[in-house]
Amino acid sequence: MYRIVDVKHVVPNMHELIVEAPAVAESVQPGNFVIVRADAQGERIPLSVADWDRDAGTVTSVFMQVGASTAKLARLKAGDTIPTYAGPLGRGTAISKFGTVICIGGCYGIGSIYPVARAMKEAGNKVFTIIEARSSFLLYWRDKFKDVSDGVFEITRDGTAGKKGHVSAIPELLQSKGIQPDLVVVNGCTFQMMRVSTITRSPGWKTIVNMNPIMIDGTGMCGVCRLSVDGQTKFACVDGPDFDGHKIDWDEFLARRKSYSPEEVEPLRKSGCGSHAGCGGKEQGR
Amino acid sequence: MALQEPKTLAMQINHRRVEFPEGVTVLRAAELNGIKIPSLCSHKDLSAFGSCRMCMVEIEGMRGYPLACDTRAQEGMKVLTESVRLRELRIEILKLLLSEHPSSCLLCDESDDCKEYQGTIRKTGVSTGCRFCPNDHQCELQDLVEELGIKDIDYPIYYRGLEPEQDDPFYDRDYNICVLCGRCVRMCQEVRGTSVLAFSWRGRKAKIGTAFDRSHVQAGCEFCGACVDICPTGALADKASKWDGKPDGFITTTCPFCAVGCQLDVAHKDGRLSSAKAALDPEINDGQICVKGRFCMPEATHHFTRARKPMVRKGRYFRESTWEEAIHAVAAAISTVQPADIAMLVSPDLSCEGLFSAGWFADSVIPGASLDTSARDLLPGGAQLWKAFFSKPISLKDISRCDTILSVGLDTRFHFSIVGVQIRRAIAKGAKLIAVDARSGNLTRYTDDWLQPMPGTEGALLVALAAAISGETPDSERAATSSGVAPEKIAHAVKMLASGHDIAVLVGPQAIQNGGPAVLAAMASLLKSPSVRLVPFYFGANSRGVLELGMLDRTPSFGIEQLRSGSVHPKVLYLVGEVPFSKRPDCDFLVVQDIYLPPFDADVFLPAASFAEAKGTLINIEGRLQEASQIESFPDGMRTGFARPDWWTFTELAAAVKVSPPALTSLEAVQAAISTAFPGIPAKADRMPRVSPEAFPPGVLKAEVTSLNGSVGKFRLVPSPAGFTHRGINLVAKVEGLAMLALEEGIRMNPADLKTLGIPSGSEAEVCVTGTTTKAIAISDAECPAGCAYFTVPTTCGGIEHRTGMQALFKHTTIVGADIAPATGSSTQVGG
Repeated sequence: MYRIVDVKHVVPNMHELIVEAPAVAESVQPGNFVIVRADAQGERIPLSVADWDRDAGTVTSVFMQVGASTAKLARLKAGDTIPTYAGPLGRGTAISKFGTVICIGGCYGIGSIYPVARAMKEAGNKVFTIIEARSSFLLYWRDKFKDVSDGVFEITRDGTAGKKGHVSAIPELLQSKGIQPDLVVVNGCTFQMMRVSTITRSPGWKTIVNMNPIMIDGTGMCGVCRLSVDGQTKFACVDGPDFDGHKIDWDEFLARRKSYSPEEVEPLRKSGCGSHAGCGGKEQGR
Repeated sequence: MALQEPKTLAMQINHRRVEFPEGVTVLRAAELNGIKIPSLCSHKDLSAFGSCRMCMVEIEGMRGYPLACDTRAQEGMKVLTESVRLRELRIEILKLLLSEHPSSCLLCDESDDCKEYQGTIRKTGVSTGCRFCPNDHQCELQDLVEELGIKDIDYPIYYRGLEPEQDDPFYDRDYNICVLCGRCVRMCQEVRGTSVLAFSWRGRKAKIGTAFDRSHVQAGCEFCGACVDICPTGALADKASKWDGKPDGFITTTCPFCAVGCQLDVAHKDGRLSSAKAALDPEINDGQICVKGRFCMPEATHHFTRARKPMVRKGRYFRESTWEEAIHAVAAAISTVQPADIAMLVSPDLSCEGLFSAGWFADSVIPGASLDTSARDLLPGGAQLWKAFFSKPISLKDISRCDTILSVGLDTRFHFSIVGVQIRRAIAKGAKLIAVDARSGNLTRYTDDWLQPMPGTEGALLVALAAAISGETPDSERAATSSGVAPEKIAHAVKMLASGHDIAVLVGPQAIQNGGPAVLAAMASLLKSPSVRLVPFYFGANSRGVLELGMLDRTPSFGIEQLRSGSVHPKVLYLVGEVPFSKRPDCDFLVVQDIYLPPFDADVFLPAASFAEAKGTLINIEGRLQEASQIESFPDGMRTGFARPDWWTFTELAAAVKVSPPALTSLEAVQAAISTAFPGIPAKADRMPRVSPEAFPPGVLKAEVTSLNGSVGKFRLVPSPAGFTHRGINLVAKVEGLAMLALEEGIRMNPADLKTLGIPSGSEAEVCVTGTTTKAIAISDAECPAGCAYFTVPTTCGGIEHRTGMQALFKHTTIVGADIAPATGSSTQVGG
């Protein structure tokens, strides 16, 4: 069992999960992920790693509450335990000296791009971070990036913070600052990673995306996480999750992600409260 | 009281002459003339509030911009609802509202692509934009933004950062997207009369909540969902169905869960039942509903344990089969035994068509077979008595017109909830309420007089009160000695009742089933009084249908009581929507026809169509023959199931048993056969209330009064009827929100009693009833009178394992006032 150090609701729907898992903390690298189960009856879900403390033996993830399992995770409290916390999994992001690296984070990816930016900076790169959300109140860790970047830019859909617009405004943003990237790394929702890969194709900026398919075991056994890269079938869990964004068959990937949309809603169709799910009525009414 | 028509007045709106009834607001006058004034907080059924300021108008001769919702329309007024200035003001106010309402989706130019690629975001915990909101495309705020053409928000965003409130059952509350229109507060206070919701805090911290921030369960919420229905945004949303988004449409139907027969508008999405809300039907529920009708439908029919295929036992295995195979198996079993060895049990939740077909099957196909129903428990005292009760007109909406109301053993929080609304309407108009209830119910706080008899002695009191109503001299002293109620309290109630001109006597299932025969006798005596409206409230949605179809007139050889006690052994037992057993009843061949599998082995299972999947009619308390509509009509399939209406199954069985084709080959044929056999029942759905023609045979019952008994360590066992049932299914096992309320769990006792015994609430206690010992969870319940132990009669055990232990008590439910001794000391307590 793994002890929960803390679960914080950082911004609406985004939760920071800190778990005591010394073995994971010891060897985790940027771009890795862990497989988590919220309770013994729960499903295994992958979560990107967002930070760690090797001395304290803790690992941090930021996840979005977007279904039954993440709802269960969000309701955990400090001191609770979870039965599964397997990791570090995946190959991790390739870190070396590239020159100028643009780290782009959106949604839960604001969390998971942080260790990438930190490592890239430590490797001697010039690092610019771009974080993106629909509105100012959905941006988090804004200060944390300042220490690991040579510049932090914000983009919001409604213009309430930073530049108004979407990730498609990035080339314009970089041009105006006179930045010429050698590498672009994107962590975030599929739509965002796809968009960034599209806009970086014509200027020829190498783009690494951290893929987020449906996954079960995370060790290459089940094959659920397969995707097509450059016409070849790859498993995101063991061959990735980082891939070249320009080589991914995005249409296939998006279609596969939606395979279980109706089923994913079924466990939520309940009139009981989330934190008492399956309690059989321990809270007494009249 | 004759109502006077309001005078018609005239005024000008937007330079057009319009007419309106005297007394309405400018907003309503405009609305009545088809002129829309934007508003977020006003509602025709609620008082003016003026919080959103969107309805400001210009009125000649009045300073500034008065609110249309709060200004009374007057003769000759000249009103302008649209002008450049008004539009500017409205846009500015709406922008201010939006600065506190996550709304970036409204302004995003990529929202179409987002919708295309992001299939799953509506499953998020909190709404941070329209695409994440359960109310997307059914939101009044969204409509208004579109109408006024807002494209930019110039103000900084202030997100309140409140944790979403999801710990109560049935609906979630996210006050981050609340616009503080106060509709829910006014609905709860003005229409429901419950006042659970109120504004708390002030200024930018202002928020909707309960007193002292208690949970809604603790605050006395009835979970009627009226607040959810009236919310202009997605701040309040159904837990079970919010994931569906905007429904494709609504179908009006009759609620299948109780005999009030409320009309519902059932929402459907992609052909599937999604949610239900009260229909604006003025005859019965008038836009109001209870927790069962509002929130229990989706889980009751779509629960993942729903039985979808016929099943047949072959040797050791119980396997899915075709309908043909299952019908053949039942026909074979029936054909090999004498009809006299066959017993059928039918549920009072079946439609008239299902009930009639069952009767027709028993009489025509297997003549001589026994047929009984649990309606015998729900309507005790015999068919003649109940025909007498139904021989006087019954009107639920007239309860609000009475000047004196006597409620006996009736709690309207979760059951018969719309009756509570009618009672509170009457009280608001000055009516007096006298409640006779051993427990503190949701009505007791409104009473002028709360008589708290020892449970089981309600009859003694009611006999005296009925005498007072009938103008006779009541034997108050005897009533006082028997019930334990102080004589002066009885005298006070007697005085109030004697002065009433239009008296409603409302008797709930707790009194009818467990108040003793005296309750029924007193009710019968009230039939003679012309000034009394007697309304019995019982469980079983179609119990009156069972009665009218003559099913209580039968003298079955295998009665439900004998079958339950195991004292008889039918060779074939056929359960139709009725599972009054927790383990397999004693028989050679068991057929179960229901919407869920029974919690024990059967030989054949026939999947029945649920209320969502078949049409039918139900007879409510008032005698209305109401239509239950078919919501879903999917083709057979592993996901959609192979369920069939009950009448269809009987027809097929008849064909399989006999060579000649049966007569009942369609729903219409069944309905025609019903009206031929029972001319009193209309040939098709007819919502007119009816009276039963049978006259009351005088002198059937005599009052019997049980004396008090309450020595130390011994408790009065009080059985309560189970109300969350449908077709032999315990709804609590399917509807998670009901499980959370835990209304029918364990042994409920006064906290002081539990303390004396040293049993912590929630722990297991041993209960001994006349020699039988069982274990049950002890629950502390302040509303239980001291010296009593309440438990819910587990008539339907449908799958709830922890309740089967209570079965030992079940045998004693007919013994009113039996003593139970919860054994004390460490040896008998098990930590819960």
